[in-house]
Amino acid sequence: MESIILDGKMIKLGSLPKEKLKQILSKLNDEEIEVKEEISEILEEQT
Amino acid sequence: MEERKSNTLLMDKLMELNEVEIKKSKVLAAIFQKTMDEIQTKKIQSLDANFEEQAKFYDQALEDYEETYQEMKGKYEEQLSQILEQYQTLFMNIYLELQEAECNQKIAITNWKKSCDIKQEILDKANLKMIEEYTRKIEACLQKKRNYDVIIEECENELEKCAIQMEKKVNSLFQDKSSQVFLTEIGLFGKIMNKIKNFFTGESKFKAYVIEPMKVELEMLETKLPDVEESMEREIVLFVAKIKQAKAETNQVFEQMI
Repeated sequence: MESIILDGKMIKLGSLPKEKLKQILSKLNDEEIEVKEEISEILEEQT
Repeated sequence: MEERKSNTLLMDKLMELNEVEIKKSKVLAAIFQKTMDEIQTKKIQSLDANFEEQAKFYDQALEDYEETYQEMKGKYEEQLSQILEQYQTLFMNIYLELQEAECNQKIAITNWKKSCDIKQEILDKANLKMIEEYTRKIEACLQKKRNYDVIIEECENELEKCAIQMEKKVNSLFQDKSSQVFLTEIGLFGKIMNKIKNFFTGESKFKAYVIEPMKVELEMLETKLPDVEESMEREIVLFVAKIKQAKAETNQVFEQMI
């Protein structure tokens, strides 16, 4: 069963309801946007 | 010292991004699997419920039709699975293209960093030609990264669309059986009349209005399925070709810029 570590806890994805998975996805989307923005800032600063 | 710090920061951020993307991929796949399971369960449950209610309406014992029903249900499940598997294949193809695009974007960023470092090193040596070459490479890598932003977004949108389309397609092909049940509340007299009617014609009506239409529907689906599968396969090929084309164009732009 696929699992991920989120906020230090191991989560088994298959055991979660779809709504909970969507919440996790939304959280990960926010994290992704944040990291991508930070990377873009580094690229802009150094170019 | 400052430069090393920024190098480490960028690599840390790339690793962080990689981890988030892996987690996201797993969650997206889990959501898709859940959607598939939900569709399958809902359709089968509705088929069972409809059959039971119709049997009750015509005063028919379910055990008498067990074999016939199980055979039809098995066929129904098989057809449903065929459609769902096609969407799973589409999902997997998009998923793989997305992963490759994310990986290529990270390579572009790493190459950008490498070019920046080399340019920094050669600045003092006043080799104008090389400085210009690395300035172009830096711009080209940045452009490549931006182009991959678009490709990644396109893949993510397609992944989202895939689950929605799957639900729509399944609902159009396998209509909800519960909606076909037409049972009205009747009084005691009506119930008695129904019992009498069912005693004489229940079996034949159940066969004519429930069993036969189900068989016809399954046969119709059987003839429709190859077309649906073919159109799905075409969709998969078109999507992969579109993304491959976008990746090839991105590489072309990169080559032209350097």
